[in-house]
Amino acid sequence: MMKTTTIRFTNNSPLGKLALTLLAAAIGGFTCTVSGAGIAGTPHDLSAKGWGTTELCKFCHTPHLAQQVAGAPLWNHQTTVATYTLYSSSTFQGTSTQPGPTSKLCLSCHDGTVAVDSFANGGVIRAGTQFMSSTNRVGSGGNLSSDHPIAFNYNAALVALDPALYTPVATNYVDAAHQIPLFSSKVECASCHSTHDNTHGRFLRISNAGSALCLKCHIK
Amino acid sequence: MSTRPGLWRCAASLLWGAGWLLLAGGCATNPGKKAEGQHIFYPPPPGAPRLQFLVSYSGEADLGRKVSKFSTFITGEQAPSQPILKPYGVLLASNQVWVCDTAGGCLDILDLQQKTMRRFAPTGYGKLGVPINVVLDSEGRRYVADTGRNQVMIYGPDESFLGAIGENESLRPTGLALRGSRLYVSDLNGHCVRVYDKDSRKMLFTVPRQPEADEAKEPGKLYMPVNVAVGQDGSIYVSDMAACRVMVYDAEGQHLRSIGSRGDLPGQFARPKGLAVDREGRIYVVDAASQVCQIFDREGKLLLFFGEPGGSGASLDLPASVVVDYEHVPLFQRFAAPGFELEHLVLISNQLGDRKISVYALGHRR
Repeated sequence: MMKTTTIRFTNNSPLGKLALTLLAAAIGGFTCTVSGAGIAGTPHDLSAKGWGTTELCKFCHTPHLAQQVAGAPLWNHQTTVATYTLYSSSTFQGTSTQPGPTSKLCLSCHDGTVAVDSFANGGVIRAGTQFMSSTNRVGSGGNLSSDHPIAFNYNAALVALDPALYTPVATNYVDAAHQIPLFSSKVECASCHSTHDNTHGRFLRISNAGSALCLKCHIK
Repeated sequence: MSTRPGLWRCAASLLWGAGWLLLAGGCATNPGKKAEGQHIFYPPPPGAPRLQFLVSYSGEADLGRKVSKFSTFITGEQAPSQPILKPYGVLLASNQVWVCDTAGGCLDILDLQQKTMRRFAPTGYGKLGVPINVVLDSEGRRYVADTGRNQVMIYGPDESFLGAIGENESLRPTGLALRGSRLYVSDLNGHCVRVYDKDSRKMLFTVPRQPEADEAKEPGKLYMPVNVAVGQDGSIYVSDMAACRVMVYDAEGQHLRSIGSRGDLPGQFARPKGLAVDREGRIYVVDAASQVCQIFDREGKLLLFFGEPGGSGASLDLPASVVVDYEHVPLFQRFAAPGFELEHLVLISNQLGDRKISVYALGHRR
């Protein structure tokens, strides 16, 4: 089972906030893909949109509560679960083409209401064995939100079916430079997008100038 | 090729039989039951059952209309296969399930009696962008909250485009509710629910009255009001996805109370989305992060949660919307477990998975 990660020490504690800021400042000097200060000012800075408190991490990193909420479910008599498991592991899904937990977290907001309904490719999560239809112009509209599939296995078997793909170096990275991660061999939203860092625009992990991001996987 | 009648009859019946077999394997004829014929109840045994999962629909094929291979061979009619792509709002009316298909940019209308599905996808001025929620008034007019166009689209009973709310405002309409002549529209840009007179389309007031004021001044402050429901007495219920709570107001918009807080314990929310209120004042809220539906009493005490992955079964998969229906119970009676009396239906839309529209029923053992 997987839970969304929590950041307990930012629970309203000025010391916690100071620690986080210092940490962000300390590692800010290095080239890093994750930075505590990276979200502020980006479209993911939900605090700036008047959508909540200034504690912007809480939108995705739901904290655990120490105390039991008063009143167990009255009809259950026995609470069968102590807490809800946020985004259970993919073994609860029926098929292997279900998006993983991190992708579901993305899709929980990118559902057409608060944010772009990324992944509107006809809504169908296509298995990696299906080639895109000729009616889809890849990248039409300037983005891949309606074209690129996720939740498929990107491994040697896929490359055997489509030789125009690079063979991933491991089950958790496509490339030797470790810039494009895979999640148990699956391509997910986080393979191309880094949620906390908008340096390259569209929260892409690397710049897509000259289609450099596409070319990390596709041999063209 | 032999023309012996016996051989033809044999071949035809083989084809017919094969056709039925193939269809039986491919269609979810009664996905409400587990393989051994057990029914899915919440809370699970040994608790007294309060809710039963009945059936789910993910597209036309689940409605149960069979087209045999032989029939396809003769007439060319294909077996039904149109899927519901990515649902949000749901509505049950006149034996039809209306689904706002955000990925399809249309409404999927499933006729439970004809067992067909068609898509409402108007062209021209009334073209839909990203339909989120739909409500129907007593005259048969349909109102669709559309975030692709940032308007509430209005169509007549003959499906003609009548107009829209939000042409000059910077609206981001997501939730819709209707009571009498009042149309309630939750607006993400305005951080409020806008109450309109549905005939004149004039805005009457906002809920809360001062959306821009901070929480100290405005205890009913809303942050991300994604969905709205109205109770029998006119009370307004709003699910706030950012503040992780359900806010309750009276019919004129005065704040009464708030239910829930952010967290992962029963009684809390992490990504609350759709909500509904039944005739007893119980509040149903689906959570897209915990992937559970929680039922609260009118004071906000948790009664039951169901649909959580790893629970009794028929788990939710990125749920978006929940509706309660009393009129269509007879249509689903055949899915009820023997001895379980159905009181009313609870429909939940799931954006992922193979149970796009799941139908549950609240009830009790006879």
